[in-house]
Amino acid sequence: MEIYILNGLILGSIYALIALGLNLIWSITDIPDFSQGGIYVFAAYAAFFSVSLFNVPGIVAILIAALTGAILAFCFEKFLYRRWRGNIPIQLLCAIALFFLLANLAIFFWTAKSWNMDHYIVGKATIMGIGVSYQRLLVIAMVIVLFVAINLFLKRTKTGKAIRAAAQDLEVAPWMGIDTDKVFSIIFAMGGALSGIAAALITPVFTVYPMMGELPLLKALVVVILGGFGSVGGTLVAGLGLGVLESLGAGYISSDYQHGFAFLILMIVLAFRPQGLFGLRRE
Amino acid sequence: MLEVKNLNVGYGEIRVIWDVSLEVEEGETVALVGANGAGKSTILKAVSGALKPTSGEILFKGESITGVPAHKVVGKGLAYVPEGRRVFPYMTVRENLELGAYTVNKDSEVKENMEWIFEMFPRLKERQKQLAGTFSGGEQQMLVISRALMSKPSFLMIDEPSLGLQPSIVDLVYETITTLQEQKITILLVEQNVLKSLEVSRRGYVLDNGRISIQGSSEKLINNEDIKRVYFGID
Repeated sequence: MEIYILNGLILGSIYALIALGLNLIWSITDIPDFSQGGIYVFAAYAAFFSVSLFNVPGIVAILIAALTGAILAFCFEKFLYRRWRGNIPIQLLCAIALFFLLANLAIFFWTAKSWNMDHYIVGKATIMGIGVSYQRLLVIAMVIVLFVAINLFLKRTKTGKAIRAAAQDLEVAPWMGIDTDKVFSIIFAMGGALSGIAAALITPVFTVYPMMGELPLLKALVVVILGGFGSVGGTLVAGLGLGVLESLGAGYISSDYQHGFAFLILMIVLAFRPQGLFGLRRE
Repeated sequence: MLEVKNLNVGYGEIRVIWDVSLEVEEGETVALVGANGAGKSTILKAVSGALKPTSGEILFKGESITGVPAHKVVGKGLAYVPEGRRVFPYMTVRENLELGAYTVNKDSEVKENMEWIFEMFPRLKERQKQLAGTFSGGEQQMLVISRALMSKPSFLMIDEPSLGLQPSIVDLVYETITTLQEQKITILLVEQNVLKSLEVSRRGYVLDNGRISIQGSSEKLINNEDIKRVYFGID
């Protein structure tokens, strides 16, 4: 039982991290940014190559992945989505196309083979009688730190408040003096960085391969809806909850249905709480 | 303070504002009135930078602000109160006010402006930690006006402040406008409530299907037979 919960928390914290960036982007721009799934893949390879080829320390690999993600997302918004602002169907199409394009480029550059990557920190801790690698604990610890940091950033800083204002009323924000183009750039870069960090954290636990972004992306999209638009805490709770439920379901019922559980839960929550578990109401 | 010359504005192919010229002098309150859909809000949106005019010129304090985007116009001393009481609903009253002072870089100045607002509207001070979305319509109107004032503008444009409010609250909103006049703020007031807005203003413009049809001192406009017939329903 404990092992399932622990594994679920690790998986869930990765979902939550990707979902946090998706949520920021989605609540401000109305784009469910599928391209984050492709960004996740490229960031994972960036972390993998920096460790396997250049032997950089873990923290550097994570930073490189974050930067890779931030730059990609920033460019996608600036040079692609921005041209189609207000036209959600086209933007969504671009996002989905980018997701597949990036995954295919990864096959083109690095073949479809999956690679193992060394843990950033070696060793194990024993918690409640189970051995847990430090790498897995690092995932949970980093995710909690990042959530607290981003929550403080959004609540306390001037830029954070501008981002929240833009999420609540994009038309009124410019009349406050807020440059919404800049807000868009910031949230996309932030979202890309978060996807990148998620990828760098989880890759040593699993493996790196071109289609690795698909399931985490779909789960993260579910987490955004479950947690509710604009809710940082909701995203964390929904992410962890989904991870744990999925892991328990896989353990006690059958792992064949693991990915089905996420969408079953989504359907149930949407039927009874369309605004998500903790969400702000949306018009 | 504000000079609009031969302004034309459209949405795509559809022209909404036709050759509108108007002027607001320092210290005065000017009413821009007209029926729903006459194009009043469109003019304010063009002046505030949210819409690019097709042609014409907008001068603020002698400087052209034609086509300057909204977030850059605010810092020049012009503030806009959009219609529909658009507060940031999931933020506190205090945060809403802070956002109004987004262009103010000095923290001490933000604090000073907030004290000034709290002095004028003690009610906002009492409820500064409350979420703006939980406010009543009248309180929200007070908040959006205060939010705009947080940048210490010399010129304020208010869009339909009485729309959708019950009469006793409308009176309260108009008391607020009188308070602003005492603070020597220049105001351009857009209203469907023709009588109310002409009563507090010095001059007025009547907008009819995107064109200025009548203009003059408010006193004259209130007694104008055409206006009486069309807008007050008096024969």
